Order: sequence, then C-alpha cells, then structure tokens
Amino acid sequence: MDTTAIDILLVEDNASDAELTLRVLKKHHVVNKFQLVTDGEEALDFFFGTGKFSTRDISLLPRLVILDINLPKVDGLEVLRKIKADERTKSIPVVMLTSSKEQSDIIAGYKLGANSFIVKPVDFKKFMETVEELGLYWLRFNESLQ
Amino acid sequence: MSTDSLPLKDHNLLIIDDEVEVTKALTRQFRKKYNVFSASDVEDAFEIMENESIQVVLSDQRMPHMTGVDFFTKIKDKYPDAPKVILTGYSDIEAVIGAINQGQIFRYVTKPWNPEELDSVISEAFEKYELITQNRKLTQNLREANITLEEKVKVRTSELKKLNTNLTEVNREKNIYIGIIDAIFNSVPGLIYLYDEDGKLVRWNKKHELFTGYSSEELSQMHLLDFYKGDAEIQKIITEAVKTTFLNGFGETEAALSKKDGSVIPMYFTASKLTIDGKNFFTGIGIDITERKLAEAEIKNLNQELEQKVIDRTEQLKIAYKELEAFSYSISHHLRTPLRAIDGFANILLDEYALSLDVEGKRLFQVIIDNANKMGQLIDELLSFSSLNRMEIKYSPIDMHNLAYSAYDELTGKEEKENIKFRLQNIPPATGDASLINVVWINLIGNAIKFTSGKTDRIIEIGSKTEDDSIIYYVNDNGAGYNMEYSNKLFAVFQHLHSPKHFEGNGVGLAIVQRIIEQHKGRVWAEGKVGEGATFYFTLADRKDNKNQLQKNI
Repeated sequence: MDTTAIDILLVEDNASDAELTLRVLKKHHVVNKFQLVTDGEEALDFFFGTGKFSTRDISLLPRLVILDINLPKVDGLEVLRKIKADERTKSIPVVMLTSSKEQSDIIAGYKLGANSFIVKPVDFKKFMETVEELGLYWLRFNESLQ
Repeated sequence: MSTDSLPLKDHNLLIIDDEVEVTKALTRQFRKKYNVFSASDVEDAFEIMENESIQVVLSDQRMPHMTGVDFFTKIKDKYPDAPKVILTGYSDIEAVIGAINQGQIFRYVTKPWNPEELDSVISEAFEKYELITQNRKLTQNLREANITLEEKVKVRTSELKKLNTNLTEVNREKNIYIGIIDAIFNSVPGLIYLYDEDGKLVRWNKKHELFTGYSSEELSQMHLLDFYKGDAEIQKIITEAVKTTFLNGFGETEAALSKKDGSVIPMYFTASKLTIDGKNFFTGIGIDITERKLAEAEIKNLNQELEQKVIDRTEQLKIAYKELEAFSYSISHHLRTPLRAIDGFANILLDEYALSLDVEGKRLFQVIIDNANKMGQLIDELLSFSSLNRMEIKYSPIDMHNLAYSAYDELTGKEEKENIKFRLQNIPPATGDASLINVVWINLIGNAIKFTSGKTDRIIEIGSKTEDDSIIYYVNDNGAGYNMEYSNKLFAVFQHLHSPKHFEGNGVGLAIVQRIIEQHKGRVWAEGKVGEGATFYFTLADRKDNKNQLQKNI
C-alpha cells in the first residue's frame, strides 16, 4: 500500500466515471499522485487509518478530496460530515460530485462544509473543463493556505 | 168676507129658479162675492153645470118640471163635490128634510129667506166645497204616496229575498268548507294543534290522540311542555320556539316528543301565530322525522367512511406517486452514468486514437457522441419536467414586462436581435412563481425565435389583453405556424409538429409550460396557421385567487 503523500483522493464507485475523472486529471497534469477508493467506508478508512488503510500514516493528508455523493455502504454526505467534523481533516477542500441537480443534496452538502459541487454532465468535454477548472482552483487554494 | 171686495173669480155659484125676480134678487145679492151663473129651468142648469166649473148650486124647490131635490138627486153622482143648497117654502119642508138625510143636500133655506142667513149658508157651502176638494186632493196624495210606498216595500222585499238566498248559499258553502277542513284536519299525517298564549292545548286532530296515546279528555287538560317532561333542554328549545312564533308570526323547531307510553320520537314542528277575538294563539303541524334522522345519520356515517376512504386512497396515491418519482428519478440518473461513459470514452477514442481512424471512423464516433449528448439533454428535460410536480409554488408579484424582455435578451444573440422585429407591449404585472413564469417566457419566446428562423422578415410580438376580468398574455410570431388540427398534440410530452430536421427541439418545452400554467391555475392555448405563424396565449389564475394564495404563503 502506497503510504506516500498524495494530491487527490477520489471517492467514486462507478468505474467508468472514476477512470474518466482520473484521465482528465492526469491528462492535464493537474496531479501526479492520487488515490481512488470506491465506497464511503474505504474513504473513512483512508482518513482515519482503519480497515484496509490501518497501516497508512494518517498524518499525510490529500490536498483535495473529490467525493461522489452516491456511494455504497457510507454515502458521500456522511463521509463529508465526518471529514468536516474532524479538526485534523476539516480544512481539506472537498469537491462533491453529483449526477443530479437535486437541490436538497446540494444544500445539505454546502451546509456540511462542501467547497464545491460538480454536477456530472453527460457531455465529457464539459465535464473535463469543469474538473480541470475546479480541481486546479482548490489545489491552488489549499497550497496558498499552507 | 167683505161685500165690497171683488167677486172671487174661481168661486162659481149657480142659481136656479123659475121665477125671474127671485133669480135677479139672488144674483144681485151674490154677484159681488162670487161669479154667479143663473138658470131659469133645469135644462139650463144642466148645460151650465156641463160647461162651467160650478162649486156651489143654489136651487129653488118648487119648479115646473122637476123639484130642486130631484134635480140634486140627478146630478148627485156627476157632481158629488158641489154643495147643494135648496130654497124651499115651508110646506115642502118634509120632502127637503128627507133629501138632507140622504145626504144629497148641504143646507136648506126657507122662503122668504133672510139674506144674511143665506149669505152665511152659501159662504159655508163654499168652505164645504173647499174642504171636500182639499180632502179629495189629500186623499189622492195619500193614495199616491201609498202606491209609492208599496212599490218601495216590494223592491226592498225582493232585495231582502235575494240577500237571504245569497246568505243561504254562503252558509251552504261555509258548511262544505268546514266539512273539507275537518276532513283534512283529521287526515293529515301529522299532529295538528292549537295552543293558547299560556301554552294550553285548545284544539287538536284525531292523529294527535292516536300518535301521542293521550285521550281527548287527557289532551284537553294538557300543557305544551307536558310532552317534553323530564327534559329541561328540550323544554327550553320549545319555549324559545314559541317565543319566536309570537314575535315573528312564525316558528319552527325540531324536538323529541315523549308519548304517553314513554317512547320518545324525533319531531319537526311548525307554528303560526293566530289572533282570535283579541286573544293570541298559535297553530301548526308536527311531523315524525324518525326516518329522516336515521337517513341523516346513515349519510353522515357514509360520508365519514367515504372521507376516510378518500384520505386512505390519497395517502396510497401519494406513496405510489413518491415511489414513481423516486423510480423515474433514479432511472434517469442511472441512465446518465452509462451515457457519460459512452460519450467520455468515445471522446477519448477520438482524441487519443485519432491517428488510427479514417474520416468516416471519426464521423461515426461523432455520431455516437452527438446522440449520447442528445439523450443526456432529453433526460435532463424529463427530470426538470417531473421535478415541476414536486415543486411548491412560491407566489410573489412579477414584473412580466421585465421578465419577458430579459428572456428575449437572454435567448438572442446580437445577430438575431438585428434580424428580429421584437415588439414588446407594456404588459401588466402578475402574481406567481417568478422562476417558473420565467421558464414559461423562455419556452414561448424560445419557440417563437426557433420557428421564425427560416424567415427573412421575422416578427415576434408580446402583448396582453383583458377578457372577463382576467389578463391574457400572448406571444405571437410570423414563423412556421402549425396546423390547428393538431392543437391537442402541441402540449404533450415528446410531440413534435415539425420534423426535427427543420427545427431542433426535444418535445418537452410546451409540456413544461402547460404544467407550470396549470399549477398557477391558469390556462394556455394556441392559434396558428401553417406558414403564417402562431400565437400562444396564457392566463394565470385570476388576481383575487392569487392574492389569497399570496396571503397563504406569507
């Protein structure tokens, strides 16, 4: 298990969406190092050094979390709530991915401290532009804080 | 009477005597007082009597052809009123007295006569005549009066007879009516009663006895409130109803009446005030409403059941609807993910493997990408259409003019603005959900832009008119129009009246418009003609309704 510091943690259960997202991020050299987890439980394990990630150095935090809202086991909003409730992790920017414009999800996400929302479009080109833009913005935002 | 006065012209005296000297002497004596006619024989006398109106006749008894008495007897019937005075010698006195006794002679004067005595007798004779004629006249008057009176009595009698006949007829009819009223009184299927002012039962019908179970003797002793013994509440209702009756002339109430056997029956009572000889009464009818009460209870029961059913069914529907919503929502979402993969990977292929693809290969990938995107749009539209149903309408005042203008502004580029003659009237504000009404304008104006796109002289007009107190907004264009036969398809989901080759569209726009307008309790409709353009009209619920709605939301 790679225990070195990573740039982005991508939490996405859909393999196609995950691959497309990662391709965008890589292609435009936004990041080099990332970690993909495929459900909410794994995401929490990653942050809190449990389960699959029990051997990980949890002091190493990603610079950005891209978190899908619909996840198996523990859903995205719950993961978000836990990240934002922990002193150690709460300042990591979280960009939420959602496949709908469902207002209640978005409002709930912002209330819990989500930094941005990307409504995943069918149009890959649009998606690419958005991910690039927001990913870069938040990575840089985080850098400027550190 | 004075001898110096002129002869009384209407006092005619006839003197008869065969001795001329006597006639002369007598004429001399009376001519100053009366009109004197003289005759020397009976024949002359008859003639004078015939021609003149002689009042008093003075005749000698002894004459050659006929005695004075005989003469008087002869004229007695013809001239009964004229007093007859006879001059007679002493020797003839016997015959004269007989005649006097028979009433034919008024007086006699013996020869030789005393002129003063004769004068007095003649004077009396005239008075006698006067009396007789007056008497006759009075008698005549009396007779005439009598006849008139008799006539009057006759007329009055016949009038009375007639009145009497009428009265008999009226009485007969009265008896018939009394008979009818009695029959009705006793055959009405309800209690009929007459109470006096103190609430004492005065009259009632047979049914009253049969229904309550009280005999006629018992009823005659009963008071109104005796029928509601032991229930102060009902007694109060009855007392109030009686009070109302005497106040307004009429009253009605429902109350449960207790029969003699103790059973209690729900009744409906009416009462009308009645004044007889200065005393107040009230009369009315009481009807058994047991069945009505039962029916009412049953209806109430059924209604409650029905209401409960409606509530249950509504709840079921709500649940089913929510499930359906969740289902279509999740389906739409799940459809988007593979679509995104199709589009995404096709894009990557086109991008990263461009060198391995020939022109046709690239075109085919582009077709895949275009269709995937189109499907993505469809799903998005469907999602927003179905989310309309869940949306709560937030009412607020809307500046329609401003909203329509910004919709047009947003939808058109610089070039289109130059090509289109856009006419926006000064349309009035409305009340509704501003963001939803914005969607309406965007769709209607968007359609107008779309369907005029083939024209060189493009005109889009937005205006309003008022009909029956409600404002109708419209968007008119001179574009492709449509065939009115297909009006009913205009607003249905996925209905195109134009080939997509000519006009792009996903077939949801007008369905969304209709849904929004329906949610605002308004109406939307269209008019059009192929090749000449179309007009879309819509109303929002009348302003009063919207105000109420606004109040609710506040």
